[in-house]
Amino acid sequence: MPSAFGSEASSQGVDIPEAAGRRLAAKSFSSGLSVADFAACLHMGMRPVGLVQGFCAMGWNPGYYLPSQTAYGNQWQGWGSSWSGWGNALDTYYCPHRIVQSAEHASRGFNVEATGIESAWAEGYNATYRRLLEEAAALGAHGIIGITDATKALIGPRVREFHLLGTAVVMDGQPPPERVWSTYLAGSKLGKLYEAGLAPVSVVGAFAAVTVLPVCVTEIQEQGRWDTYGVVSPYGEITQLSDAHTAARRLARDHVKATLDGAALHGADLEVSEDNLVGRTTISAILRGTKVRRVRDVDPLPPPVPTVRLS
Amino acid sequence: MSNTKRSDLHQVTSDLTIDETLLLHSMDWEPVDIVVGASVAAIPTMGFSGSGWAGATDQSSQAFGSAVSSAVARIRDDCARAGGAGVVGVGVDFQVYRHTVQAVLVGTAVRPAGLSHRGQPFVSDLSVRDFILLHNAGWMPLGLAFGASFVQVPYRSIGTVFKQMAANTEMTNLTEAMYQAREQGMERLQSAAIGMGASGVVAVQYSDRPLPFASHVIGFTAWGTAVRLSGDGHRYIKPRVVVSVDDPTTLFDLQGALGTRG
Amino acid sequence: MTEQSEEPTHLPADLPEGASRRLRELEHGLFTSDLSVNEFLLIKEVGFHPLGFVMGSSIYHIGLQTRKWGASQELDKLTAAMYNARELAMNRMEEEAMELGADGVVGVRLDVNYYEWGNDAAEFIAVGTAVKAEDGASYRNKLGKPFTSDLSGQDFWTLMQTGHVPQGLVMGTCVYHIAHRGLGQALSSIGQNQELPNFTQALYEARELAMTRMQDEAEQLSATGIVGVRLEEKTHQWGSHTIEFLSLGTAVVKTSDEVTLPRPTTIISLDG
Repeated sequence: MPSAFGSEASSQGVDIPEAAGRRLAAKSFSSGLSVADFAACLHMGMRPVGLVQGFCAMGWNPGYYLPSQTAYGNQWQGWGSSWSGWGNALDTYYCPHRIVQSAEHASRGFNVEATGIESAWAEGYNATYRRLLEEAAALGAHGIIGITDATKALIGPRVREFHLLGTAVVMDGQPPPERVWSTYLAGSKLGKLYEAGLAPVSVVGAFAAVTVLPVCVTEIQEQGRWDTYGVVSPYGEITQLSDAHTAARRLARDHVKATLDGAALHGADLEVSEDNLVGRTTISAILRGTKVRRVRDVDPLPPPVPTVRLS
Repeated sequence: MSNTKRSDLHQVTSDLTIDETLLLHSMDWEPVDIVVGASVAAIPTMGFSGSGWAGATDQSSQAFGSAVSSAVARIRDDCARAGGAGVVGVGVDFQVYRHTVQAVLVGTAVRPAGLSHRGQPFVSDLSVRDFILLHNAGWMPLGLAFGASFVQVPYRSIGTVFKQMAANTEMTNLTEAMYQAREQGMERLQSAAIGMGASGVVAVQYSDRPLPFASHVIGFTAWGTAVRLSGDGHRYIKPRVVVSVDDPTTLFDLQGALGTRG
Repeated sequence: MTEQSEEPTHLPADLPEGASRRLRELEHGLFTSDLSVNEFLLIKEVGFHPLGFVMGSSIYHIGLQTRKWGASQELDKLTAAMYNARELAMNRMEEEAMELGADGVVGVRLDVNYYEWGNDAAEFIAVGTAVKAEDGASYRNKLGKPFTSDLSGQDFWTLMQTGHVPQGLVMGTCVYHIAHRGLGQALSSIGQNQELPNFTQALYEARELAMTRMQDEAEQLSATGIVGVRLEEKTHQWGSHTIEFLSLGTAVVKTSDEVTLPRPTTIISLDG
């Protein structure tokens, strides 16, 4: 992957801006931890060495590989299962009317996994995460704790700005790290994770997007129309939409699982949005969490005692 | 209902907090996977009679029921495929649009440690804490019970509007319509629970709000977890009393302050 | 804003007369604070007494700086204005605190207000609660000024238990103009899903500059580190492509290796 920055930066093999180097070389540390988390961090034998960040601005054009689809009605009908570069058909839905395909009548519908935008997301996220790791590595850190996803839109709608922030920590007395580990957790939550015999490996995130190219039945039901041919019942489930909603979430889960290599995903957070980026409904899902591995077995803890709080 | 292979056991994904994971662990259960069920159902309008949503209230109740039961069936299948004994902490998300009802359920499949479950998994919106409290007290969740009812607020005649304008009087027709709709929603919830063989429904939540696009149509929805006593009756749990001062990070030691520490 | 008082006072000329009257009352033992009861008790617990509510304000005219449409660059004059305005407000708050003989100020909040009457003018306000050590020891920082921090009472207590003492609220700011995409560039990459290195570099650099400047301030205080760093992005009234990146945190210095905070025990509560 090409370096994002000028030749000066890439000649040093470093991907982070020059100001970061100056900041990270300073003697004092900075940390984004709250005081409570800071205290817990010291208790665990971790010394914060610096606030680290990764950033990447990606062009964000979900319909890029889909030429003039919206302008010419159902042109995508002729594509069959070839969605080169843009997507990958998950399911095909057929018209019950036995009517020939036309601009007014969609005799086939598809739920398409928008793989083009999925890989753009992965590229942006990975570049951001890699820069976060580079900053931490420059500090000789063992791990990054309390990572937050600070992604927001400052530039405009066609740009997606990935931004991760976290606090790099050194574990004094430990051998130099082979790989920097990272986690969304900090403070007592992280402490309990260790106590449960688990250790964080890395933060993981995955994105899935499913675009609905509706078949005639879906269009009729979605618009609350009565079928003029009397074939489609206006009642009941809109299968294509149900499938799309379910598929987007499950795909995000499956993409995360593909990165786990047998480890477990802890504390996952699923974020779903629905929009009309390519003139068709697209359901996208982001699943984030911390990949953890078991470092020792623990006996079941004593059973918890229910308490009643009097305030 | 597939049998999960032992080698897959570590491939766990969960959205539980560490407290919840430890709690599950303390009763020798484990999370298995994040599971999902979603469904969208159509609400047909009654042609273009100009009445818009008039008469569509029954259809929307029906569509709601169809979306929910289909979403529950899907999340249950997903759980069974993962080898879970049930789904806890299900986040329930409903949206009613002009022509569609959308129901999305996301939760974590759990099971007794290492035991791949056979049979029908339960689905519950209870948190792990609540699930364990219930479990320890001898109850088991059976499934999500839902009830929905949509009512069109009757328009008042011009005469009635004038009569009621100055008076402080009950608007009986409105009371009646709303009251009846609430009762109907709750009744549907109850009959769903009875259908599962439940002896009760806990943690019922309900919402009543006008539909965003038709302010004279009020939708009532209610849902909760249907439960039943398992085997040997209710076990009484003695709670321990805790007095906390405001924020949980720095609790004052009241026993020390009062000199009552044992 | 500043009324010169007639009688010569020992107050710095920088503060309005109302402030001196209010502060003189506070010297007679009355204290005011916006601390909650819990915070008040915790601050007493670590041996500090609240002296009074202190504040500083500065209304600053933020002018314009020409930007190049197609170039990403720092707007150094705006950066300096935003920094100086906050610095003035902070200094005045510190002066009020010094007037009370305070060792420090906790719970500091920094706000920027815009008013309809003032085009391009903004009011920068710093408010907090001045505190003084009850054992008479000085907790002032290396520059001889009361320490400032945005920590709550609970955080202040916890921090002291870990053997750290706050030195000052440190900040760094950077006002950056993000280039609009040039015509040729826009045409060649239209609709593509790929990294936009110019944007990445500009925004990344701006954030790093803000954080570096904050760190420089901490170094001046000989701080061991900064806790609770927040990174804020604001467009103020400059349009969407000119953004202020503000980094804020509390610089701390380690005073003892002894951590008196009891080791946390694992509590799993069944309370909802």
